[in-house]
Amino acid sequence: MAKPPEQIDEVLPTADAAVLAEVTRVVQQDPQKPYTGDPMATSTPHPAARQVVELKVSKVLFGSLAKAGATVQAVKPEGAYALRAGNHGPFVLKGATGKVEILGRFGPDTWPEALVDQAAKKHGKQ
Amino acid sequence: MPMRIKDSRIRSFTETLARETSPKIGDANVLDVLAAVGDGRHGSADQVKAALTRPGITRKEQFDLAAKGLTTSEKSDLGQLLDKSGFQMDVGAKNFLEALIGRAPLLETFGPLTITGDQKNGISGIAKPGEVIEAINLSAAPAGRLHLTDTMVIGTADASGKFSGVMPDVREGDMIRMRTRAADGSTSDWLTIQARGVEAKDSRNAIVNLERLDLAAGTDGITVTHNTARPLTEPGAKLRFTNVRTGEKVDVTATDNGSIPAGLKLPGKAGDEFQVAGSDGANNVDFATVAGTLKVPGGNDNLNRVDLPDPKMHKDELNADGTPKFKLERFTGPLFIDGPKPDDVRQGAIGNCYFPAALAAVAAARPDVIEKMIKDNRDGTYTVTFNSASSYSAGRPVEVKVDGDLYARSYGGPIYGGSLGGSTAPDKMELWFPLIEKAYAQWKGSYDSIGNGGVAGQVMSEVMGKTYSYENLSGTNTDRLYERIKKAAENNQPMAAGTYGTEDAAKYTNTGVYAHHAYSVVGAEEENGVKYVKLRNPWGQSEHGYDGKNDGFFRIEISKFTELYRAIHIVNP
Repeated sequence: MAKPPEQIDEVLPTADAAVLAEVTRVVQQDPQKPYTGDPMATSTPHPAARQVVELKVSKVLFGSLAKAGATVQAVKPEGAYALRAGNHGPFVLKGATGKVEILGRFGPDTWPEALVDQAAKKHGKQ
Repeated sequence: MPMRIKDSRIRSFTETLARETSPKIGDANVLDVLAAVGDGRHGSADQVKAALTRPGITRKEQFDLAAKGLTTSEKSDLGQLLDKSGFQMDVGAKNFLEALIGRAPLLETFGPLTITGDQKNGISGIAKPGEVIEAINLSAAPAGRLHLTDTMVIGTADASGKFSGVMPDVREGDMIRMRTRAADGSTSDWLTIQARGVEAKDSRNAIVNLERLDLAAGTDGITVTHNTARPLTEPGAKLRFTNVRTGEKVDVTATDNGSIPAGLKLPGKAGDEFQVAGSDGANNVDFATVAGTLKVPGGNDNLNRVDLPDPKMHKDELNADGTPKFKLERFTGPLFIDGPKPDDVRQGAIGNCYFPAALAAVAAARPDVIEKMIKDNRDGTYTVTFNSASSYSAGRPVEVKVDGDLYARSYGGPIYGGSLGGSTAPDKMELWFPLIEKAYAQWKGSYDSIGNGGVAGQVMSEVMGKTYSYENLSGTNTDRLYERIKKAAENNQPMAAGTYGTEDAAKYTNTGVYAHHAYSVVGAEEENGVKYVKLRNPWGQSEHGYDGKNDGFFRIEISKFTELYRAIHIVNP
């Protein structure tokens, strides 16, 4: 699964918001499929299960899906990473209130805040 | 037996000289000795010294001045200087002293050609009386039609051997080559000097005459030929050839005859252009000023003619009908720029982290293996040699031939493995890693075959032709592990490490280390009693900790290493 992060310019055009936030709790954790491959292998297609998490927003980089200080529920899709309470960073989001999805192959570890901010300006999101 | 110098001036001269690291009596300070013995009723030592240094004075006149005041006691002093002092002496200086005490006749002049002083007022020196002095300005000659032997006469040595002459257009720092010609036509060896004292600053750079260079493409690169006996540039000048297409640079030093070193080859191909810059060591030392550009004849006709079948894309990059979503583009850049290095390697948008991690590990430990495993066939194809080795058995060589076609993004650069730190343009990108990856895909079946995970140790074996060992890191002794990694690094054994899978993914978020990912292990180090493992992320970015570079290289405390990494793979010696 360990492909490199997507280029921000590939993802941002489809994004509706970006916020700095912290995971306050994991609301829902789908069952994790067991790994049956070679334990010495890496990059095998074995995604971490889908989660629904609660994000406490501290700063809005762009968009109106959440306000600073608010809490928002978001879906972490099946993919290369998983979240737990305390994880933090820039979350790039897509969707509408009640149906928010976290973008980026590694969630808050995909791009640093400065890069998201720079790309948001470039794509006219701010 | 110690010296017993009686004359106070000679004694003072001797004692002062003896304190020097390499005491020597030469043409200049021997005049102090002559002044000391020449003083007396004819004048003080200072007066005699002034007379001895009069412009135009001959050696005979100098000898006579000294001999006029010479006493028996001073003869004894001079004898001791010759026999007991142990001082080094120039031929002329020694002859003065020997002649004064009657051991040898005075040599009124002596060869070989010697230049005295600076060149502020021309070129002065000593030769045999009557000899003609011939000279050529090697710094200016490359701009003209002069051969190295096309000299001009700058003067004739007088009866005392002294000469003085002037050359036109001599600038500070110029290389002047001279020789003497006797009445019978015989010539001396060449003597080359660098002009000093002409100007406050050396501001004339080495001239490079590009009309005197020819480039020709061959099977082993570009042959450079100096096409005339006339000089290309001044001796000792540094020349830089830069391949405009690839950015590769080759620096050479001009020979004593102002030519290029024999057998000079440049990396490139027909049709390439080379910028040539020169430096005389004082000017244009950064080669920013270019003398001109030379083009290699040919090109666009044969080097890219061979088109081989390409491995299919990963299924993620295939349309429903099986056609690829990305187009192939022919890459023609250099295989290597400054040799293979781990920081050249960039994992593409494919799940094969184990492969770039392994190749970067080999590039770090054994770059020579990478250089040998891929060969440019000079027809647009490359032969890559793997080995069928595994963790338990050494294998046999496996040759895979590929062309330079790579699947490319619409906005430039390959979709799969690429190169970091330079251009990604098809004619400039460093190709060794993406082509070895392509050959690996070809060998294993397709990019899909290699893009769904794998084992870094296995790839290192297939590159090195050696078996490998692996060690599970759960509960391992960190001190022993540290020593094992350190020793393997010192032995140039490639190493890689893999993290745990996505079932443990949550422990990786925010650590800068990623789940189910492979890393090159490039060493171990200890600082302030803390032991670290040095790693590289094959993405060429995203690191544990922040060192301000984000180049993929980082270090991690060994206890954290064993917590986040499942296993380490080490190629066996």
